[in-house]
Amino acid sequence: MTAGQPAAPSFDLLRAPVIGALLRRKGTRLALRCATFLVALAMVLHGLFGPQLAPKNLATVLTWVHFRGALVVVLLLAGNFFCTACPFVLARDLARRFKRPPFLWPRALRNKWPGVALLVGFLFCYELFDLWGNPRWTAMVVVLYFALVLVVDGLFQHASFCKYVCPIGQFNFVASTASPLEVKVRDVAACDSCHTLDCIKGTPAGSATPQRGCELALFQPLKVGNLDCTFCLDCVYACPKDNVGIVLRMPGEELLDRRNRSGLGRLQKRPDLAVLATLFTFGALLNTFGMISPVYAVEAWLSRVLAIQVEWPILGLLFAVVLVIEPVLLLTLAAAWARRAAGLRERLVPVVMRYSFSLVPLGFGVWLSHYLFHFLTGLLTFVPVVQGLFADAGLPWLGAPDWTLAGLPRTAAYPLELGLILLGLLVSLGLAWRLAADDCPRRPAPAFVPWATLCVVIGAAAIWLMSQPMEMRATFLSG
Amino acid sequence: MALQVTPAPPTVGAARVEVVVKDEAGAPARGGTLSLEGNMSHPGMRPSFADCQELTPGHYQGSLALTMAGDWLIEVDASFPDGHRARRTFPVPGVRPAP
Repeated sequence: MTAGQPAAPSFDLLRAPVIGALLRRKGTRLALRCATFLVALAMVLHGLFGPQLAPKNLATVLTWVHFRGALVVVLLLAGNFFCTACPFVLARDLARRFKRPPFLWPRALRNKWPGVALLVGFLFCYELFDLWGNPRWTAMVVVLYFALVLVVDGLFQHASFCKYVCPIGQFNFVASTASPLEVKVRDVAACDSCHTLDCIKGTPAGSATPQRGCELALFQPLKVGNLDCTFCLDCVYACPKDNVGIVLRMPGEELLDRRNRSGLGRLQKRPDLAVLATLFTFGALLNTFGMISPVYAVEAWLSRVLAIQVEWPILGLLFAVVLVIEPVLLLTLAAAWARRAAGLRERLVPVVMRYSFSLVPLGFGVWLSHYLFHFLTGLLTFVPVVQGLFADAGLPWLGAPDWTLAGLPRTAAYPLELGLILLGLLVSLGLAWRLAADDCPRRPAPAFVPWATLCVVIGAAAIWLMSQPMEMRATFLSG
Repeated sequence: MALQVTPAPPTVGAARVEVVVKDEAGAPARGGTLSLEGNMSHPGMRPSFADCQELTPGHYQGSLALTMAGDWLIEVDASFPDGHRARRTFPVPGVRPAP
């Protein structure tokens, strides 16, 4: 029944003073969700009806500067707590009070392919429609997100949207593999004598303390790592033995784990997860590339060469190169080199799939570097926006907007950006070494060198991208 | 109201912003107080502010710091002795990195 987990962990957030007691209360989760729902509501209203200048609108400022930055910081320092506080789940739970979903999510779609497609689509729309510069469109994205949640989870039972559809959730799942905290059973022996399985089944509505079990099909004793875990804490509330904690672990290590995972199976047998991990890594490079000067030179060059004056085919070509052709080429080359050098008997694709997960920490380092740049350099920019919002509403309680407030100077953020990329690179190199050591215990180096080379190439590309002058334009044809 | 930014194309750094203002009859609008506010098209950047001097009747000039490459929007807020007030936003796309 148990997954052979190690002895009881040393640190458990749920047993920490104050914060542990707070997190164990269901009311805290509800309060967090209500707070994010109200913020989302304010963003939507301001985005639709407020000033249509991105730096002066809550929808664009909070979404593209603060939400993204805070999200990756929390993922780096703790875990997937933004999913804990998800406002979309609040709306879904309210809707489900009136009508229970009739269907189960289609078997053919019980994988990450829908999430992968939506994540790519979202990144593409972000660049094509310059969502970062458009308050109304940003607000509409939030509204569409709510609508999609209500439709999907209105039709399909459990947390179908979170597990299979939500592009933010898929991003969080992958990033949280590098988080230091994990929702995990404290004492696996206690689960061996459990017959009620409340953590997965929940307790029925008629019982003294009705509580749903894990809606993402993660059975705690067999759960491995953070993939697919929304930190919703339903399992914590459901366990009658108080045997589920939020424990400290080695970030990234779960990416090496070959055990059968509850709700997921084996990582090395999941091409959809390998593609999601690869998309996560190369998407970080692409998203960063979209904010620097050379991207406009490349787009203008493609426009001339292909004689195309509209952006979407050119952007589509860039996406195809960076998210499909480049990873396929680089990962295939690395795997072929490793097989030849180390004499691996495994076929090419399984090697690519296993090692693709080792790139995740590096990809996370690039996302962190990018999003923290915006977050830190624009940290206080929401203050004058909120002041202006109140003043425009005839409530000048917060004073006149102070537009001198910003954040760290860009030069101060740069060392941190480099440090995060290098940290991600080191962790990825460590994971690649461990995989190589598993493959060739006596002589890991020949299997390691190709993947180390790939990590260094990606890391160098990321550092080059971060060293370029930042440039944000509405379209490559402008100026 | 017309606005011109020098250098053209604009680059990161101090940009000279010239504003020509005419009244409804097409005559130069004299004696105005003009202020400039530059914002980037994306959030997270501090805006730049500047005041303009009237060089010749109806012809105003100010120096605005364009702190990052990309698309900018310059808002001109003009008020005149007769009580008229005008506010207009001019897109300044494609500010280039400093040479």
